[in-house]
Amino acid sequence: MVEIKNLTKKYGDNLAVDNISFTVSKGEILGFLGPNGAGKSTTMNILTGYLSCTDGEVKIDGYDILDNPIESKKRIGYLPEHPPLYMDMTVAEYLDFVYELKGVKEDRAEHLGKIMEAVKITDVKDRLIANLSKGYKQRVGLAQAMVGNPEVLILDEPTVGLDPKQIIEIRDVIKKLGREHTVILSSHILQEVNAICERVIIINKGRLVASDTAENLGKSISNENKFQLRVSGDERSILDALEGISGIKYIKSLGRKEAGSIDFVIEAEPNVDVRTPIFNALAQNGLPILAMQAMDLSLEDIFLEVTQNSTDVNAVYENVSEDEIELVGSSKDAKEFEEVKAAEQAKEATVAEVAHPAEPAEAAEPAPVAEPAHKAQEEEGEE
Amino acid sequence: MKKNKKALRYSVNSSVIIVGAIIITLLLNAVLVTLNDRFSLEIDFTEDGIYELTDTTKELLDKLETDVEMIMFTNGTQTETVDMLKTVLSKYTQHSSKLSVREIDLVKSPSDVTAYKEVIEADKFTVGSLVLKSANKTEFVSSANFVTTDGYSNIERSVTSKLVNFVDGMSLSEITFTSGHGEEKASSTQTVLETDAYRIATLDTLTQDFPSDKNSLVIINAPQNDFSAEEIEKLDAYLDRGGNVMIAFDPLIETKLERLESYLQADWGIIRSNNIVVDQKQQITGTPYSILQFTDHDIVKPVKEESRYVVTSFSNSLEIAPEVPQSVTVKEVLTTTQDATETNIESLYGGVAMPDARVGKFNVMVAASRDNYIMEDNKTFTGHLVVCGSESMFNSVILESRFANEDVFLNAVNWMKGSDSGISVRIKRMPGGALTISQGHFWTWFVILVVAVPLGLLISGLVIWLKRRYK
Amino acid sequence: MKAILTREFKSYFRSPIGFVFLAAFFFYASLQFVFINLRGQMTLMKYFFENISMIFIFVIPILTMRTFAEERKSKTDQLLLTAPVKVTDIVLGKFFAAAGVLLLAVVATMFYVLVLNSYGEPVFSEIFIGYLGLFLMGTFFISLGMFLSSLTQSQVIAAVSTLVIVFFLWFSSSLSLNFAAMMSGVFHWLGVFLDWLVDFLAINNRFADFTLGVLNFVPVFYFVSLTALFLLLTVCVIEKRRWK
Repeated sequence: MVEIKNLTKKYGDNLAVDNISFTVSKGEILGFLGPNGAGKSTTMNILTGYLSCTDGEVKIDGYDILDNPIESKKRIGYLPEHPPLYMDMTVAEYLDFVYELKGVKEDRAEHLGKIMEAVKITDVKDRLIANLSKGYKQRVGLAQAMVGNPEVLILDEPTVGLDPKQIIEIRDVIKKLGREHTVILSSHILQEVNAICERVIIINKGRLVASDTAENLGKSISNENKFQLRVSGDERSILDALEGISGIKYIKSLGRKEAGSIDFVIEAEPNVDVRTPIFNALAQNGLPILAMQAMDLSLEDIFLEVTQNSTDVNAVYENVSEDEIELVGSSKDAKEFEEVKAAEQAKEATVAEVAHPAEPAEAAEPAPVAEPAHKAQEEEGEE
Repeated sequence: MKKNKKALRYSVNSSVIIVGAIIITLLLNAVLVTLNDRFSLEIDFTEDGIYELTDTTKELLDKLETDVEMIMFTNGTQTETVDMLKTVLSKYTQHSSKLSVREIDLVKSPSDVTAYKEVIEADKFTVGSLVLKSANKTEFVSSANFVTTDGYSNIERSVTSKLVNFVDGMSLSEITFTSGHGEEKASSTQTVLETDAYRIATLDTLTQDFPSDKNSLVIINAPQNDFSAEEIEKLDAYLDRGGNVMIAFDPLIETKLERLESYLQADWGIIRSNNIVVDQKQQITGTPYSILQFTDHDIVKPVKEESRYVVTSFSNSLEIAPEVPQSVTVKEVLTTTQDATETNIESLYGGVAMPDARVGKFNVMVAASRDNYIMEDNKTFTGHLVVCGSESMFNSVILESRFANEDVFLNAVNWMKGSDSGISVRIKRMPGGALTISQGHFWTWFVILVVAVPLGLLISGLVIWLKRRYK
Repeated sequence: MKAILTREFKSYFRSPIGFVFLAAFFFYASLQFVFINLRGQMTLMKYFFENISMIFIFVIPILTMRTFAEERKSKTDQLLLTAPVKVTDIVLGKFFAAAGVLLLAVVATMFYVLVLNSYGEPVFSEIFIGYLGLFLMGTFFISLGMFLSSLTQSQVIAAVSTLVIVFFLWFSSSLSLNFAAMMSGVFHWLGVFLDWLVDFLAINNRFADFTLGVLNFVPVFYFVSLTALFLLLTVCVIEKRRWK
């Protein structure tokens, strides 16, 4: 469906996309991962014909985007990073315009009605886009991409700025769309990619560094042995107690998460089970383990792994180092732990539970995502 | 090399397109400007077709065989006259390849003008003036009265009448002024006729024969002395063979022109009254002129439609005799109003009231035609006669273009000679006319157009915007 | 193209911009009409046209400043450029929308002719030519303004640059520059060309041809060809940006 060959984009001497090739087949949902400035958006802009590549070839359903732009663009629905909304129009007017613009043949009222239903914007259809919350704007943007039922949907960060409930909804919509459409989705929310996409492509500094199913990617680098620990007691004595256990690669303190206790991440040598020695050591020192949880290798780890390996480590790592821990702690497999934490933050229970995972995932983009999500909800609450 | 092929192709293409498009645009425009000198690429939408050449000019241009350069003097600024002149001149060059236009910018190249020092009449040299130049002839056309103050265009008339001189063997239609009876020199009238490309001749009726061409015209302008019987006979014979005669009387002479007047009365049914009519109510303040009334005669019809004024000072009244010879048709052309009064020279100068002075409508100009069948030619000739009660109408006043006297005069000439005769380019009305609006209406429109509508637009814009803003 | 045309045209009236344009144009035109024709008591609209054509220098940028600068700033150009429409259609759609607003303004002022008709006898055919000239000149300014708008993301820069360039074109002929005399020798031909170019670009002189009441195809072609040229340049600018 989508064929990309040796795609290269230069801005002057600056190589934004460097010789990327991949194909996406019909009905596939492809995740597109990479830190900021990796060339995700540039690639997507080239795919949709907004930019032209310096070299290489993009074919949509067999049509070259440069030689046959109209035919190939007919088959694409695009939601750019920044949704292309006319603030002076109402939602209905806007979708009407997009409908006309794309020259859609289907019955207008029914087609647009269905789309608005699918992304749940029917109730705001007569509102001015400028007055909508960020979440709604994002959804209108998604609706715009869906107009005309294009075979390929290219979504650049489709869930940015949505509140947790909305994120789940949109993910469902995308998953549903994935049954009939080819979807290419970029995201910095690794968990999202993990949840929706069958296949993942990771690019960094304009180069493709990994391309496989999420599962296979995991296997290939799955020689880690990590788990998370919550111990009651003070940090110094815990660390003293754990010292000397053979097989531990490193211990990292996550600080105080619960009164009187400290959280740690421990990585052990592959194929060495250090859990019993740890229990024993702590028990001997009268430091009760409140929680212990093994951590399977997740997409996040793979992501970090490949991006670190592929390039100058510091650039990515510096940004990541602090968050990495959060990131691990909040991954899917740390759900139990997450729930504990959520209970503590009872006030914002629902928000935190789903919104928080987004935060650590902001690997290279430290701006907290959870916050806009809050805002979005507050705004919508007021409306 | 292969790597950037696509990008290169697209960017080269677009650069080629940009440069090509600019060059083509400039080139096409330049070509069109040149073409416009030869072919008419325009349509005249003005009421009077002031930029269209009359057939007279076109016929003249068709006969033009020498190359004539029309040198136009401008000063770089775009004045209305120059705009119009350029447009009209382009019509000339479009019609005849013998003509070309050259512009001399007096600001940019002032020295170029010296070459034409000889021909230029310094006192009439204004921006837009022309010098017409062929290999052996030059003519000067002053732009001074190209556009009259009251909105008429003389451009074509001025240019064409000078161009006539460049056409070999082109006989200008001739108009003959009689002499030998103390006639007025009528220089103003002659100027008008000359600008309209007539050739002026004089005729001593005593010694010379009347012209034989039936398209000729003889003007007897303010005779002070009577005609001899022999002259009257010549005159009658001339009219019998389809001649055209215009007589303008001087109302202020004391001698009666017995033979001429009785000839007019007997043969044409036109009686010159020994009086002076004054239409005081129609007198234009500060002038000796009174406004005349139009009849629906063809001579005054065009002027009447334009609702312009024809004026006269003192005039004899002209009566139409109750008994008119059968072959003659006489009609009034211009009259006074019902309120005109009669007087005479004695009363005017001596203060003695005229006995039995009438009040009412008097004819000031009449026109007559007479059919005459001549056996040997087996043909009917129509002679035309126009009689005017006052020579003043066509002498001094004629050059005052705010009055339509000139038009009436030329119309009378055309009526007599038939429309297809000679070179005659009518004066053309410039676009636009006057309108009358009261102070009250003016302010009403001011408020509506300048205040209310724009304000309304702004307010509705604001309302719609605010309404939408909170949607 | 139709979709873009409709949207653009409506958007002029969704914000106050369209109304401000119409109000400013109509106010100035009315002022000229009332004083030149009604106060001056003449049916000739030549001077009216000459005077109101000047207002275009100031109001046309209002129409064109947003066209592309705004789209780029708000990133909505991504929607247009990734939709299955040609860049030419996008440019033409926007052009015709602006030209439509202009037409509305010009047609509205035709009401003056009716006013004249009730107090005098205007010659409709003559006046129509003036209106045609006005409209054609306006469309040329629009295409120029759109071109400048496509070069920048800032509406202010787009508006000001349009104003300055149109202003320059308007008054260039009055400077009476004589390049041919200033440049001698080998450069003489260049001077001649520059003189020709300055004369060529003197819009007010080209427009004056329309006020005479003559429909001359030379100035008609002049405005139409320049309009087309700048629309083409706009398309090229947008196309070219993709290759940057």
